[in-house]
Amino acid sequence: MKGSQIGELEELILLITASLYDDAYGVAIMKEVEQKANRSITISTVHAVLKRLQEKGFLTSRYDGATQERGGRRKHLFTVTLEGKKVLEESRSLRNTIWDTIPSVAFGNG
Amino acid sequence: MVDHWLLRWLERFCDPILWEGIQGDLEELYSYETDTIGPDKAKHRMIRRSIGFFRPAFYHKQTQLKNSIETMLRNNLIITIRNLRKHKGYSAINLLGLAIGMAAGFLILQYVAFELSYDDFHVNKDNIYRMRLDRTNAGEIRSQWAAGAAGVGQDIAQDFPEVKRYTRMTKSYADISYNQEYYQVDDPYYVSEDFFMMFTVPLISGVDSLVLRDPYTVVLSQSLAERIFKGEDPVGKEIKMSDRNDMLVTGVFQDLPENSHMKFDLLYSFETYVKLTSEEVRTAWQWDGFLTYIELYPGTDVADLDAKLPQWILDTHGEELAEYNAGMKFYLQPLDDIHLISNYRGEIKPTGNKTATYFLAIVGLFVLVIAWINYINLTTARSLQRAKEVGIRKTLGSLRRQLIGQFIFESSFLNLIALVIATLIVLYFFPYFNAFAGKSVAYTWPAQPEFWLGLGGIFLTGIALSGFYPAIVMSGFKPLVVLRGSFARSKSGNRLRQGLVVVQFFASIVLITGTFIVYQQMSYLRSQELGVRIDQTLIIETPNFQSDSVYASRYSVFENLVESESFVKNITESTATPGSTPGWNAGAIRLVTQPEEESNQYRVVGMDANFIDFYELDMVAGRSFDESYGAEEENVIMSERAVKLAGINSPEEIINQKLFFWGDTFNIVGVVKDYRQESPKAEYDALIFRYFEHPGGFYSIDLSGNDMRNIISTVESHWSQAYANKPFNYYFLDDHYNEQYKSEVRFGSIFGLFSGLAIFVACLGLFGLASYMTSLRLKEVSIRKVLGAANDNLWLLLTTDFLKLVGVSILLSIPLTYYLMGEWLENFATRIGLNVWLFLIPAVILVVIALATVSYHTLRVIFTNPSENLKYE
Repeated sequence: MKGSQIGELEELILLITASLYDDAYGVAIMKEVEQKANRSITISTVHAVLKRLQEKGFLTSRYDGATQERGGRRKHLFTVTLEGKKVLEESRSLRNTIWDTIPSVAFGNG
Repeated sequence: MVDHWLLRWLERFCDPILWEGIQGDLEELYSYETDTIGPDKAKHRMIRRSIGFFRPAFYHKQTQLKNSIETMLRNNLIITIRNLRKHKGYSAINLLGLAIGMAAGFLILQYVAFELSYDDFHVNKDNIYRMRLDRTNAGEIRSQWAAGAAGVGQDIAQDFPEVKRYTRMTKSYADISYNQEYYQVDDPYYVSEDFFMMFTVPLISGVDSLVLRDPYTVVLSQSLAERIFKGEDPVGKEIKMSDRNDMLVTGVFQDLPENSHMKFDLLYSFETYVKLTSEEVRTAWQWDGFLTYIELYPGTDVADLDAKLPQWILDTHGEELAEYNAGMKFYLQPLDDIHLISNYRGEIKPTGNKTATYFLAIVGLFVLVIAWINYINLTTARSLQRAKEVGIRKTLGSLRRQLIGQFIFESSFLNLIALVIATLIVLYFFPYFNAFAGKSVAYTWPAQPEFWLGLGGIFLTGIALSGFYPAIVMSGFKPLVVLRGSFARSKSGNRLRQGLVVVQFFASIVLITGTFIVYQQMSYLRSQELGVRIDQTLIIETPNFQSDSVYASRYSVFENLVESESFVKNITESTATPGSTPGWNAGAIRLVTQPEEESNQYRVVGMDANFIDFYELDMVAGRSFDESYGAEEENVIMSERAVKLAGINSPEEIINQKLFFWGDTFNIVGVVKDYRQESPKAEYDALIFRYFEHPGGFYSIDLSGNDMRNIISTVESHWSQAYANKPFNYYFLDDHYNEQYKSEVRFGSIFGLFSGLAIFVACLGLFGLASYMTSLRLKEVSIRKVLGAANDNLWLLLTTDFLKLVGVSILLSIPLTYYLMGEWLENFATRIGLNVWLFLIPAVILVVIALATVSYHTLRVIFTNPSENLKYE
């Protein structure tokens, strides 16, 4: 299924969602991307990616945590699903496997 | 919380499930940024950010709404079709009226668009002007030329730096042969070398700047090249001009499109003309018959150039002109104006008429408007029948918006069907119409995008207008009033309907009166005393020979052969025949006793001694030419108008005076009564007749008998016996004469046809409306009848309302018709005056038609047995 493939930005946001655990919503994720990955991203892009990940089944969401700054709106909070966890692990182990096969001379360390 | 229209739009756009999270995030970022960078910048960023959310990912798919629109449309369609079927008569009238109106409107407008498209295809059209010439004598206009002085183009290009290049051209009368075979070629021209550089006439072979540079070269049109050389490459071959000169074919050009004011198959280089005549032609200002076109550099102020011309004429030719008390004035005609605006001596082909074209556009619009008004009237008049439907729908919860939607849907649907029918009509009648309108087969649909856009615009507006008003009226009914049963027609609706009927009949009466006046004018022209006999006359162009003596000997052979035939009554030879302006125009002519500044211009006809008898011209003084007097070459005859122009009061007085004509002196021996040399449209011309034993030009043969085909073939066999294979070009004089007002006759018939259609459509509407109106008063009429009303009183009661409307329309139409038709009649030298009858007769016709239409219904109601209508009470 095409949905089980995952893009680079999707992976990054999925990871950050996982790391933020119980406070993963649009603005928080955007700021985290800016700080951790040091790249600028618009809020609408974050939302679009989150929606796509949810459609692929890697995220679930709920509404909670209205605050004064948010004009009384609740946060749209995201949690990584089991599927999401699996796809992250697969991608990580794939990288590790490939890393292991790289001979040390390849990077000029020999 | 920020309020901005973009956010409100976004809310509508966004999937509601996502909206709260998105809105919250936007708010959070805004309040954070308000603290850090200030509220103004924060707001600005927020708006920018919100724009990012207008992407497909967040779009809220309104599946439910889509379904409901489909259901609504289907429901609308069903109701529309049911309504159409229920009232088949009305529907048919409505559809037929609309379809005819649209088809007629389309046909006319495409014709008008075509007339307006003339010469649009020239790339440089905005910079090309034709130099038209007026010649004056003692301040009075003597002749108006499209084809003016020979030398002016070359001189203006030399003297004014803003003139980029010029082209001059003049007609050739030579015949063409190739391998001893003669070819009939319409209007060959000599043109100067820049022709193909200036005009967008693509060359299929040859180089635009070279093909016309040298003497004795010729360029052919594609179709003529095909006709002569039949597939061979013509370039480099030679054709013979008048059996004398070998002309080298240097190029082939694409045939000119129909919408060009020019038309020719063959162009000789102008240098050829210089060789055949004299070097003087390059600079001659007193030698007319040369069309001159100039191309200006882009951005030149034309008005400025135009203003400099009078002084230029004075500076360069002032003295020479003053000698003859003459004047010249040039007009710069924009290239794309020539077809519709210009109609002067020496036009290449018959021009169009601007007034006539705009009249037709008005007629087209009238027909369309009448059709749409029909629709509005019939629909609103019938709204009563649908009032209950509206009432019930409203009670069941229909919104007004939905009802308007329903009615607009209905009218769009009807208009669309009408449009389909109209398209079929147009496709079917297109070729007939264009033949009728005098367009050649090569003619196709107008290509301008403006035309199609405009047409689309007109149709959309019409559909919207004719749909909108009935929709508003019908959706506005109040359910309670309607369903209680005491619903009466609104006064205002009635008045509007009456207003619209007035507009319809206004348009109809303008058209009827217009048609009537056009026909009256045409029959007036035809009934004019021509002063010349034109029936049963065969005209043959004389052949060209290398020397006059050869011609003279051959001619007597031909003449003897022809005269021996029993069907030939008479034969004469002349340089011009009635039915066209004589090509020979001569200036600087005066009586010997007069000073040079009293010289004038005359048209000259060379003729043999037979001409005046032959054409049954009347002599008012002196005598006609007669060879028995001897030395007739030294005598001339003048027309009455020419005598007047020479400043002599009575014809008798001028007899035996001496005329000074280009260095020679002639004795005036006779005066001919004025006759219509050119056409009844034109003024009498000032003519001088000169005697030649063999003038050359045309033979006129007076025939008796009916079997024209046989007669012509006999004449042709004599022709070949006398002249071998010289081209035999003939026509009948009355046909040729009638050509002069072919365009008016055509205009009259187009006008008549579409006026007829407009009236038919208007009457369809009136028929429907009358049928409905009388049906409303059915009971009233029956009760009146029971109470003893007389039939004629009842008829008056039912028809006066309509008659009043017709009367108002007629009164309103008179000023417009008077103005428009006055303008049109200005085109004619001899014309009818606009009198009362011209307006009264069409008015009576219209009243009779309207009465007949309405009476069909009223009489039916009156003659029904009252018990039929009252039995249910």
